[in-house]
Amino acid sequence: MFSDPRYYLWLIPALPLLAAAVIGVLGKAILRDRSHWLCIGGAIGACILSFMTLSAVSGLEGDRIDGHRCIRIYYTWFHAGNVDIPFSLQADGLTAVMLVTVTFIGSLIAIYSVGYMHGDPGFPRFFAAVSLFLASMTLLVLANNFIVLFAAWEGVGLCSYLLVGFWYAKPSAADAARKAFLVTRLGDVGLFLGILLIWVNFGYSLEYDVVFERARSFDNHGLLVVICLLLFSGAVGKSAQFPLHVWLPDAMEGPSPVSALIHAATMVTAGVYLVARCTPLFGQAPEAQLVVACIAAGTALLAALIALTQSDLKRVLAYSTISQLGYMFLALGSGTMDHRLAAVAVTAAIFHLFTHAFFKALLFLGAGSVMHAMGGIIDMRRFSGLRRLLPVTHWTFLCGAGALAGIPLLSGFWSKDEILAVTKQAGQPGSFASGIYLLLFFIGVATAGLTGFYTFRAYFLTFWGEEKVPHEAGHHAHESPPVMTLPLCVLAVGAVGAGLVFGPTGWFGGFLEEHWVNPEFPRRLLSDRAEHAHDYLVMLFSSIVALTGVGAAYWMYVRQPALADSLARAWTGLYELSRNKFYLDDFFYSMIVKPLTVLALLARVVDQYIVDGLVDLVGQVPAFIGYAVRPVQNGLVQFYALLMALGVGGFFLAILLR
Amino acid sequence: MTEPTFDLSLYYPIFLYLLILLGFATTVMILIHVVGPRKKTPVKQMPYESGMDPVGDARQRFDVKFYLIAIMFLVFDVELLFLYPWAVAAYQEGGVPEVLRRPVFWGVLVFIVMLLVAYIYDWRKGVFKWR
Amino acid sequence: MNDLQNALLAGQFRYILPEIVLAVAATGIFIGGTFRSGRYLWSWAALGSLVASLFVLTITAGFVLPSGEAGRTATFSTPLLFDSLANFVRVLAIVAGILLVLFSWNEVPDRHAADYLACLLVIIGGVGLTACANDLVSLYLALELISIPTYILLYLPRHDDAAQEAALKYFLLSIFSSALLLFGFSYLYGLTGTTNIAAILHTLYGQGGGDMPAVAQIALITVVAGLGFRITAAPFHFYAPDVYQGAPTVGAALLASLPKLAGFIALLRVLGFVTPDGVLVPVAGRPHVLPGMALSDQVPILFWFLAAFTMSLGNLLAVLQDNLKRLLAYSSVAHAGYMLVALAAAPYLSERSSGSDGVHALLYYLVAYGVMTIGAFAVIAFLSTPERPVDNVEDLAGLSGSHPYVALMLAVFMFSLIGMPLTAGFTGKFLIFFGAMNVVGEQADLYRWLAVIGMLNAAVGGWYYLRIIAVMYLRTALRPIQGRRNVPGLVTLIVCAVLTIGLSIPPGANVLLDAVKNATGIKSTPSPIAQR
Repeated sequence: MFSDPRYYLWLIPALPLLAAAVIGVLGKAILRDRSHWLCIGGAIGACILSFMTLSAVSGLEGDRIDGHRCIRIYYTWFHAGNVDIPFSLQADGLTAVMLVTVTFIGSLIAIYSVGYMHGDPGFPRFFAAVSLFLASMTLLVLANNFIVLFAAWEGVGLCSYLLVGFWYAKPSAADAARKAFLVTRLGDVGLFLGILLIWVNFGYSLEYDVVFERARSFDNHGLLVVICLLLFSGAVGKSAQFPLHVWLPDAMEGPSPVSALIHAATMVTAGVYLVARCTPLFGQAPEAQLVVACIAAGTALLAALIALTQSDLKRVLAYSTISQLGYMFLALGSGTMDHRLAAVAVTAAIFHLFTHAFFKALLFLGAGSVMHAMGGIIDMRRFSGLRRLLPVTHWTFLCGAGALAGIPLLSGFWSKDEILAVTKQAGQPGSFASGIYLLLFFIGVATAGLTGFYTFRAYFLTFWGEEKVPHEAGHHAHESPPVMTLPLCVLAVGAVGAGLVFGPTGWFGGFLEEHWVNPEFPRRLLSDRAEHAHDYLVMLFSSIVALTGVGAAYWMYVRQPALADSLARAWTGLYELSRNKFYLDDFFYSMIVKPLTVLALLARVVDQYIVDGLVDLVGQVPAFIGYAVRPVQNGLVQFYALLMALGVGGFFLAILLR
Repeated sequence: MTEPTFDLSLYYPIFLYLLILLGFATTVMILIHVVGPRKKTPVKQMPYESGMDPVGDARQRFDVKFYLIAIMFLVFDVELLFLYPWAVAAYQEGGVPEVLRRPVFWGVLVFIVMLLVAYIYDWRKGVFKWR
Repeated sequence: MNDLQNALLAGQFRYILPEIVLAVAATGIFIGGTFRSGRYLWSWAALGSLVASLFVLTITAGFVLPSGEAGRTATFSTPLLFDSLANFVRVLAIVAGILLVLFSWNEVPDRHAADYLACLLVIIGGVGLTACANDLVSLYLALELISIPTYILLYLPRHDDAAQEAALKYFLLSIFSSALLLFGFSYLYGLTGTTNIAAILHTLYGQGGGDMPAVAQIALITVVAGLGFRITAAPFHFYAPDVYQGAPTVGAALLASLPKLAGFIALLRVLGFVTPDGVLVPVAGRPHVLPGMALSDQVPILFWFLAAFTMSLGNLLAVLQDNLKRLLAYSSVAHAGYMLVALAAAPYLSERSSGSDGVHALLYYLVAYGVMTIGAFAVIAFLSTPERPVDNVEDLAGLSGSHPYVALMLAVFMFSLIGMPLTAGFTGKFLIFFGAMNVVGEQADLYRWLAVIGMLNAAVGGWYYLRIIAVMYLRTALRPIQGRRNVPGLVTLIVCAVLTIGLSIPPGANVLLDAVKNATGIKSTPSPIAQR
C-alpha cells in the first residue's frame, strides 16, 4: 500500500491538521512549551509522505495520457441538483514538486521557530497556526477541483491573518493582519467570479481535467480571456502583485519564521501555482498572458526600485519577494500559444519558485536570526558590522544573498536565467506582441541589476562596516542557538546547490515536462523541438548586470560610505519617491479608503434611521397578527373540540364544493 | 362464491329464542305482581333501592373505588366474552385453520395471563381494599 | 382465507419480536413496580429492555420476508408488513425511547417510576407497530397503543392541577380525534370492502383518481383530521400549547416527538405515499395516479393549505409566548407545518428521481426535529429544580455564565430549530424547500409560493428562537440557575447536540440520507417517465 500514493495522499494535509487540532485543544493547558513536537512531527511526517509521492509520481508512466498522476476521490463533499463536488485529491508532477517544497521548507522553519519563539506566551498558538497553515497549503496543491482549491486558498489566507496578527496586542500587527486579509480578499472576489464563470461555461464541472478538456474546444475567446484575468486577479492578491502588493511589506509585522514560511517561500507562491496549474486555460488566451507578463514585469521593477532605499531589513526582503514573484509571473505570461513556449515557460517559473523558496526562506530566517540577536531591532541604520558577532548567520545570509542576486552558479542564477531566456524568446520578432515582450525582457534584466544592488546593500549594511549594536540587544548579543542555525545551514546548502544540481542537468524541467506538462497541456501550446538549451548569451549578459549591481553596492556601502548619502541628496526627488514606496499606500488611502469611509458613514445613517425603522415595522407585524389570533387559544377544551370540528367541516366544504 | 339465497327457515331458532325470552320476562313480571308481598316503606319506594338518590344535584362526588370495581368487572366480563367464540371455533372442523391453531392457542393463553397480570396489579395496588 | 394466507398470518409473530420484548418488559415492570419502587432500578430495566429490543430488531430484520407469490399475498392479506420503512421507524422509535428514558432518569418520583417507564415502553412498541401496520384495524390498535399510555404518562410524574388539566385535555381531544379517524376508516372500508391498506390503495389507485366519489373525500378529510391531531396540524393543534405547558417536561418532549412520528408514518401508509410493491401499478386505459393521491386528486392542495396554515399559525403565536414549553409547543406546530410542505410536494416529486423527494425530506426532518426538540426540552428539564424552576424565557438569563456548555448546547438546538447551516434543522429545511421549489409543471408556481411562505415563516421563527439565545447570553440572572448533578440528563443533552450537528454534515448526513432513501425503497414507486 505504500507504493501507491492514493492510499496516503490524504494523510499529507491530515497529519498537520491533526497536529493543529491537538495543539489547539490541548496546547494552552497541557502541552505548553512542548507544543512544537507535534507540529514538527506533523510537518516531517507530511514531508516524508511528500517525498514518497514524488518518487511514486516519477515512477508513473508519463507518456500515457492518464498515467501521469494519482487521483483519489474520497467522498462526495456535497451535491446540489446534478452537481457533485467530490472531495478528491490528485498528485502529478507539479503537485509533487510543490508538496516537497512546502513540507521540506515548512519542516525546517518549524524547527527554527522552536528557538525563535522560545518563551513567547503564544507558543502553542503559533505552532497550531503553523500546522494549520501547512495543512491548508498542502491541500491547496493537492486539490483536484476548483472548489477544494478555493477552500484551501481561503484557509491559507486565514492562517496568514492569524500569524501576521500573531502579536495582536501590537496595533501595527493587528492593522497589518487586517490589511493583508482584506487586500487579498479583493483578489479573491475575482477568483471566485472566475470559478463561477468556469462552472457556468464549462458544463457545470469544476474538476481540472474536465475544465481543461472542455477549454480546448471552447470557442468564446473573449470570455476565456475574462475568465483568465479573473483567475489572475486572485493570484495578484495572494502573490502580492501590483496593485495589490501593498499588504506584503506590512505583513512583516508577523514573526520572522512566518515571514519566511508564508510570505516568502510558500503561501505567496499559491498565485503562481494557480496560474501555472491553469496554463492550459491561459495558454489559449494570449491577451490575458500579455497582461500577466506586463503586470509581472512592472511589479518586479517597481518593487526592486522601492527596495533600494528601505532601511528595514525585512522590508527589503519583502519587496524583493514581490519582485521575484514578478519574475515567476513574467515567465508564466511569456508562454503564449503563439510562441509554443508553454513547457519551457512554466518549468522556468516553477523552477524559480523552487529555488526562491530556499534562498528567500534562508534570507528571512537569517534576518530573524539578526533580529533575535539585536533584541528585536531590524532597522539597518541601528546596527552594522555583525559578521564577527554572528558568523553562521553571516555566511548563510551571504549564500542566500548571492543566490538572490543571481551570482553565477548559485541557484537563483539558473532559474532567473531561464526566465529571462524565455522572455527573450517570446520577444523574437514576428510573433505575437514581440515588441512588448522584448521590452519586458530588458525590464527583467534591469531588475536583475537592481536586485544585485539592493540585496548586497542590505548585506553590507548589516554585516560590514564598524561593529555597532543597538542598546536593546544589551551586552549579550550572540549567535542564535543551534536549533536555529542548523536549518539555516541546510537551507544555505539548498540555496547554493539546488540550482547547480537541477539547472544545468535539466532534471527539474524534464521531470515536470514528463509528469505534468506533456500529458496535460494541449499540443498546440508545446514546441515541437524538445530543446531545452541554455541561452549562454543571456546568461552572460544577466550575470554581468547582476555583478555590476553587486559591485556598485560594494563600492557605495563599503568603500565609499559617504557616496550613498550624497547620491540621495543629489536626487532627493527620486530617493523620496522610492523611500515612500512611490506613494502607493497614500494613493490607495486617499482614493479608496477615504471615499469608503464617507460612504460607510452615509450607509450608517440610512441604515439606522430608514432601514432599521422599516425592519422594526416589519418585525411588529407577526407579533400583531399573533396578538389578534391569540384569543382563540382560550383554554376551554370544549371550544377546542368545536374548532376541530369546524376545521373538519371547513375542509369538507372547501373540497366538496370547490 | 355466489351469495346465499335468503332462507327464512334458518332464522326460526332465533325467533323461537326471542319468543321464549319475551315469555319468560312477562311471566316473571306477572308472577312478581301476583305472588310477591308488598310493604311500602320509604326506602323501598326509591328507584334504586341500594344506589344513590337520583333526585337532587347531579354533580355530587362519587367515590373512585366504584369505578375501579366497575372496570375490573368489565375486564373479567369481556374475558369470558372473548373466550366463548374461541372455545367454540378452536378445534371445530372449519373453525380455526390448522396452521393458525397454535398461534391462536398461545394468543388466548397470553390473553388470560394478561388478565392475571392485571389482577395481580390491582391486588398489589390495593384495589380490593375497601378503605 | 386460503392456506397460504393462514400460513403467512401465523408466520407474522416472529417479526414483531421486538415489540413483544417491549410488551413483556412493560408487563414485568408494571408488576415489579408494585413490589419494589425506585426510579433507578426500573430505569435500568427499561433501558435494558429497549436495548434488547433493538438487538432483537437487528435479528428479526434479517429474517427472510415472503417473496414472489407469497410476498404478494402477504402484501394484500396480512395485517402487518415489515418493509424497510417499518424497520427504519422502529429503530427511530427505540432510539427515541432510549433518549427519553435517560431524559426522565431523575424527573419521575420513585413511587411512579415503574408505571411511567412501563407506559413509555408500551408507547415505543405502539410506534413500532404503527410503522408495520398494513390494516386499518391493526393501525388503529397501534395508534391507540400510543394514545392510552400517553394519558397516564402525562399525569404520572406530576400531580398538580396543571398536569391534571393537561392530561384530561389531551384525553378528551385525543378520543375525539380517534373517533374522527375511525369514522374515516369506516368510510374507507365502505368504499373498498376491505380493511387491508395495500388492498384499499390498490383498488383506489386502479380507479385512476379524479372521478372519486365524495365518500372518498370525506374519508380523506376525516383521516387527515384524526391524524392531524397527532402531528399537531392546525386547526387540530389546539391542545398542544395547554398540554405541553401543563404536562411534565418529559411528557411534553414525548408528545412532541413520538406521536408526530407515528402520525406521519400513518399518513404515509394510509394515503399511499409509500406503498408496498405491486400496489401502485399503472392500469392500462386508466390515467396514472401519482403516489399519495389515491383517495383524491385534492390531496396535495389539502396538504398545501394545511401546511401554510399550520406553519403560519404556529410561528405567529409562538412570537408572543413567554413560557418556554408553550413556546416550544407552538414551535412544534410550526415544524409540523414545514413537514406538511414536504408531504404536499411529495406526489409531484415522486416522478423525479432527484435527491430531494418529498418523503425523504419528511423522514429526514422527522429525525432532525425529534433530535433537536428532545434536546431543547432536555435542557429545560436539566436546569429546572423545584426551588428554581425554569418556566419562562426570562428564567434562562445568565445561563451562559453559570452553565456555559449547557447554554452552548441550547444555542445549538435553537440554531437548528431556526435552520442555520451546519445543523440538522438546516439540512432538513433545505431538503423540504428545495423539493417544493423543484416541482415542475402547472403546479410549480403554487409550490414556489408555498416555499416562499415557508421561508417567511422560518424568518419569523428566527425571531423567537434568537430571543432565547439573546436572553441566555446577554442578560444576567437575578437568581442564578442552580442545576443538579444529573449525568443521564447531561448524556441526553450531549447525544442530541452531537446528533443535531452530526446529522447535518458528512458522514452523518450521508448515513441518514442513505437510510432514509433505503427506507422508502425507491423501487416501490415506479416512475411513469422511466417507462415511457
